[in-house]
Amino acid sequence: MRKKITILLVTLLVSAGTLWAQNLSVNGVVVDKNSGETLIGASVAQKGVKNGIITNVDGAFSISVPVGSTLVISYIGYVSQEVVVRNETKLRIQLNPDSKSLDEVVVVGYGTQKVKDMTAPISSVKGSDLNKQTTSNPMSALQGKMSGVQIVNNGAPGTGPSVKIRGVGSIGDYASPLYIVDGVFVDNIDFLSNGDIEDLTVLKDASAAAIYGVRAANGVVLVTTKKGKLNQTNISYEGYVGIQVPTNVMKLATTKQYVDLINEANVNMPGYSPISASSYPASVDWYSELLRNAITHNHSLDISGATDKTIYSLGVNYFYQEGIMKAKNDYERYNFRARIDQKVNDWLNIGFNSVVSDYSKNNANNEAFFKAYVSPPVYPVYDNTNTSAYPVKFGSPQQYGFGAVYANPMAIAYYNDDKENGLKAIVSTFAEISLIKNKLVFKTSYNLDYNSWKSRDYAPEYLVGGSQGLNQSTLSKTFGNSYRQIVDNLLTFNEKEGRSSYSVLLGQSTRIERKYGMTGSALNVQNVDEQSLYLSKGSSSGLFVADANNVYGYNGVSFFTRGTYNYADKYLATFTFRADGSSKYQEKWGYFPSVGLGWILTGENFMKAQTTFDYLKFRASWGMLGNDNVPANSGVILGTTGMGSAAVFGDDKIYDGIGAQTVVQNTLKWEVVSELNAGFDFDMIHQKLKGNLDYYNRVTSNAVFYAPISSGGGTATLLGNWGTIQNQGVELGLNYGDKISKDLSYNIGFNATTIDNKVLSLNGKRDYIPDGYIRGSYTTRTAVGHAIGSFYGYEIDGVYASTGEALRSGISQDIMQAGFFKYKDQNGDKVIDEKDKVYLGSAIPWLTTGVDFGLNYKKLDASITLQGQVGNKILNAKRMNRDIFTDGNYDLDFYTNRWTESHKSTTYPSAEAYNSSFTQQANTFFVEDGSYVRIQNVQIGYNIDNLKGIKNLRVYVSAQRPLTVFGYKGFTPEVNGGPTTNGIDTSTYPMQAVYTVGLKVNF
Amino acid sequence: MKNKILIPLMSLLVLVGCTDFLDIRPEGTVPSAGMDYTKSENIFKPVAAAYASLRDGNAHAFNYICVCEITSDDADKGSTPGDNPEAKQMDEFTYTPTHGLISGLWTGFFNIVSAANNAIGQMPLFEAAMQTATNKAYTKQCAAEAKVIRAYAYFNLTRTFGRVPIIDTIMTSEQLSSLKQSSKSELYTFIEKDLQEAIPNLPTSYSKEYAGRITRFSAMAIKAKVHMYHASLENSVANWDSVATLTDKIMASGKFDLIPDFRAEFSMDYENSKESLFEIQSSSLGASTGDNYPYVEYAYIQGPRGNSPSNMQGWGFCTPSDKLMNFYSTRGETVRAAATFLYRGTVTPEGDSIKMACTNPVYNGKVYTPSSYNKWNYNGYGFDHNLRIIRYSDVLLMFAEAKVNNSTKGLSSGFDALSAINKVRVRAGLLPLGSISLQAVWDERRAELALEEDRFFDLVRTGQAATVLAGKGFIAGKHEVFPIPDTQMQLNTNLQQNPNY
Repeated sequence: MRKKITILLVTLLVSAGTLWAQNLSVNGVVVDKNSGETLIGASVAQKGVKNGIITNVDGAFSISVPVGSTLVISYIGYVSQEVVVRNETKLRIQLNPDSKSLDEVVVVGYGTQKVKDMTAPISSVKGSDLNKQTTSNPMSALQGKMSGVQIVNNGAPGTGPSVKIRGVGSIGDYASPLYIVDGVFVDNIDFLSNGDIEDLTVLKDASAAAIYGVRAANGVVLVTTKKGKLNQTNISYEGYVGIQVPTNVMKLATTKQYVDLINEANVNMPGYSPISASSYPASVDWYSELLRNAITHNHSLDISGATDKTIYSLGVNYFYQEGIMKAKNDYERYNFRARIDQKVNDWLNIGFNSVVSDYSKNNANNEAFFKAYVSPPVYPVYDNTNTSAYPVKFGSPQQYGFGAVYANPMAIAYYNDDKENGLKAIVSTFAEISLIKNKLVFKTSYNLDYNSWKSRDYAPEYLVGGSQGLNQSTLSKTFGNSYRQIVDNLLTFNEKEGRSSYSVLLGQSTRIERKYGMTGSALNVQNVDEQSLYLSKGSSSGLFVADANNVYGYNGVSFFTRGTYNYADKYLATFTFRADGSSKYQEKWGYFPSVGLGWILTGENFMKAQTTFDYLKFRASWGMLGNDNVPANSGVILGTTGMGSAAVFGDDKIYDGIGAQTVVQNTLKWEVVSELNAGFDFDMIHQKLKGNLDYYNRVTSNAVFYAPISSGGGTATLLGNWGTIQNQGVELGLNYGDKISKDLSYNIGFNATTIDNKVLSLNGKRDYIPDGYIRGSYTTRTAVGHAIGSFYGYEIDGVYASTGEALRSGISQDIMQAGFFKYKDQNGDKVIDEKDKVYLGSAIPWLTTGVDFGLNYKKLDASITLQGQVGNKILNAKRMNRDIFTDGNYDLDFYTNRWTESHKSTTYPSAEAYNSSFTQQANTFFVEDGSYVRIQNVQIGYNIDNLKGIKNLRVYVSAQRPLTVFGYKGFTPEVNGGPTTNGIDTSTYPMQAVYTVGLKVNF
Repeated sequence: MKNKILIPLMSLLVLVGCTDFLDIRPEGTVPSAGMDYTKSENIFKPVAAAYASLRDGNAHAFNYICVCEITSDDADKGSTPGDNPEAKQMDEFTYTPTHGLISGLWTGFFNIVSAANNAIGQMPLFEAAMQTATNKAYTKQCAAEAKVIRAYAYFNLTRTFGRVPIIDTIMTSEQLSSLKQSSKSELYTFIEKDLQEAIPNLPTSYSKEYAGRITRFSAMAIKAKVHMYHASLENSVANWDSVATLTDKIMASGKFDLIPDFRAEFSMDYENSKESLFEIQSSSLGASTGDNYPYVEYAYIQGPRGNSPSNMQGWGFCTPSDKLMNFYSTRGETVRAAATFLYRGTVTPEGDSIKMACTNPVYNGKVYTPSSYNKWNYNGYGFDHNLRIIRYSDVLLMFAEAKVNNSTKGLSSGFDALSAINKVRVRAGLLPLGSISLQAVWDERRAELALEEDRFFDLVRTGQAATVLAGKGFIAGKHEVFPIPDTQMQLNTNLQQNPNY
């Protein structure tokens, strides 16, 4: 209320002022000096008083000021200009572009740096760009936006994508980058909404990431949450409602097609009598039974502002997403964000920042999708003749003679009741002391990432038939919490002498990470409501409680220093050195240097004459980083206890045991990433074209991962420093923006990254590491000179059209029957055996790329983002299961293309051959190309300014992932996996397109 | 201004932590390296883990049944015709080195070897730390039990795969992957040495709460069986003498006898009975659900498929073959036939009906578990059914075979070949034989031990496999042993494949 009065008074004073002074009404237009384009939204203000205005859509302004006063004209990305008002009433102000807004500051490790001073490749994106996309996870919104960043989505609600920066070097799940939210290390940013983010920076190479050390070897994603801006109070609301539509759902065979295939498959089975489709009561499309279009909506309210002493920001966000499976299946999240930075006095700043995220979700049982994929279409969803079924009369595959591996997918979905909720709190506080004003600053901060979660899974008593059922209801529960604390102490010194400036940072960091949990289950708990679901309410005999087994405790200490040097804004140097201690390694300490150099060529006299480049910088950097984001302490011999190690004698008496592996555990050394990067940043064509080009060469030595070992040591796999892996490639980022008329402007962005992954050494330990075990065979091989986890198997040279042809070929293989694959005799010895297996490519794409196109016409804007990758291989492991699911359903593609006597395919086997283990192994039929191109996002928006107390309003419609084009015979070409098991696809979860309508309002 | 300096100083104080900040062990683990060897209650723990390893699903469940029984002429694959082509390949001898079940079986038995090695390696440390003679002796006994377990695992490995590498200590992964195979002769010597060392240190019996633990007689029975196989390879006379001597000692001990009712021997009530020499203990501990109970799914896999209620159904694999049924009827077997065959469309004496809806006409009756014992929450057929490895009838028949092979040893029990075999026959309701031949002993073994994973190996041992199994696809010179798994050959390039694979 008080503020309102103040505003009123000021307004009165200003209007009073116009009466007293001799004022001049000045009209003008603000333009770009180089292009002559008018600048919309430039600020024109009278210096020293609160009198200002911004230019309209024509770049024009009109302001009343006293004669002799000074006007300050400023615009983001341009050098501000001051003009003294004499007696001109018409002004044409030409602003000089500020070399690519090079004074733009980006967040780097433990501080900020001007873009022009950077010697390392980084990519940065504004929160407003992320916010254009309707993803539940900010990283998903980044897909296709940045070079060098590969994002692989996962379909289920509330789960984030897997992110890889510049290829694969390290251990699977651990190869993800380090995320830092306002100084707090977190494992992912699934808990943030796109609207929470002010800006997001990716540090890609070792020299940039070096300062973050031990967790940063696979790149760093730095996130700054929204903070207030000086002298601007902003209240904004954003919301959208959308519908998720399953896309690219695989078509499966109908009952008639299924029966044809089964009869063909068993044609040579002695005593087999063909079945007929009419003997089955139904033809069910299990996927369409299971799937639905699902709702999602999101609402955020933000308040931010700043005064001379205080910067504050407050945000509330609500997100809801329904899952696409017809079941209890959704995700709901509330985020609360508060941040305050306070200048206490002239030498002390303090700050507090917190993000609290409260989520709950009902997990669908994804087994239902898998069963839908394999389940024969022949039996009904519901079946009143299935008299023993209760409480719902679901149809049972066992009633129709199918084995226990089959289950009614709809019943799985229906009887699943798995709820999880949790709370995540990120808290960071700091104190910053200026010891020598503007020169020497000490900063100490405490950062906490706290998580607690609770899940409960209730399975009622039910029977579908056969083995699908439970005769007693089961309740299982998990409780857990984890926290990570980091204390950082930093001393920064800045100095400027003549044309050179330099800075030195000394830092120390201590990390403590813990995770604990309990799990339990009970039988016959009555499910009245949520409050009744307690283990102790069940039968006393069935109670089972234990500690969770994925607990951990790690500590770490680091000391680090960074020096930067800038001479005449032409020559730049950055140097870092770290000493890292980690409890995870037996070799506790590692030491890692890095150096970066930059040369701004356009600052040199000899470049003054040329006009091609408005700005050109050459960068080169090299750095080493230790990675401790590996499984902890596995190098010590562990004793295994519990039931798996206990003996039982007599009348069910248990005798505790302690077992151990009998293979000598490897002493784990630091996994070290050393990376060389060289590149250019450039602006061309009057700064309409901006770009960067980088070459990178990242070598991960002593790469830590689990590799299969020979039997006899009591374990199938062993963690070790198994090899040296190289990722190299080129990254190109281009952005072209132009204005065709005052109403029409556009921009095109393009980025591309090539990855060449190669194993340089297996540390002399092995000739190769086989992995990807599927029923008796390894499907991948990691060997020097090939990509890590390359698929390894037979090349298919066609399909035998007849047994005669097979025999005439003179090449012997295990099965030489019509309709079976003809494997290629690679070594020419006329016998198909192990020696004929070859490398069939890997899951690492050689090219990932994205294109952005944006258009503004008057108040309308439109944008489209495309994204794709080329050259990755996928092992279609879900198709490769017919030797288990011999009487399971087929996909329509197989039905259409299979080999038959009347349609002698040269690429597809016969139905009979398809079921054979001779066919069901890694070969070029199952190892498919995974290239795809996708429309990531399409959006059209309409903006209205200054509408009845609303500063700005925007409405938009958007389509997220509406179209993905790929040839792979699966649900999605996006497949994850560990380094030596990458790209083995068993997923049966369909992708979704999201269509939304949204609104943004600034008050 | 003073405050300015104070804050950095205070922050620096936080740094001065303890030096072992970086030395923390993994949460929720017990260090085997840090085992307290002075505590006598810890002695048995590594051995308990070795016993637990026998329950490994790779070792004594589906892989075991498919590789060691479905290959014989007594059993068919079972289940529906298309179900599990890998099992079908075992039935038809079309498996290759990339066969998943064979690969799993190798791993399962080598895991037992590893668990036994761990126990054997730790016992001397306990022995050194123990103060009393009783405790010291107990460490020797525990080491002996682990050696028997290791010997048993190696016995199965060598009769399944022929030549395998010997691993008797802790190694690095590089050592493991560069081992060479030992010859069968070296393997038998190694196995017999383990057993020989174990026997004197083992007790002759245990108290009731330890029923099922390895006794001196378990070790002797296993050793007798090893010698019986060894005899077909080399040193026939000496080996048959060992068979006779060992079995005779067991028979003379007076601790063992046949359970009068053949069928009852396979019931839960007669687990670890006086007929039992070695059993793998399986228990659901009376619980009805959970993830982690000490059971083996041996019976479940062979239970009647498609039966109801759900606690009375299994996967229906390894069904008795027509040949076996004919063999029984020609011999006029009724007692053993009734126990070995569980027909659909019948009601068991315990009152369970095996419904006509079952997939196969007949199932393995030796794993039949009445519904009152199947308390598990659905799918719990036979979780409490112990796996019989060596029964007393096997001992009697080994003795008889040794005698028929002209061994002059083993005189203390008073048995001769004829009285030993007739003891088995009479219990089975058959007339005693008047004279004995090698073929008679072999046939008796088949009838007595049908579907107990003995027949296939017996056929190979006695040289009958090529003729008896020819109809199934058995090729002499190849199928006597299974292929070295391709997976292992990739992990250890020194391994040599068995002939003709």
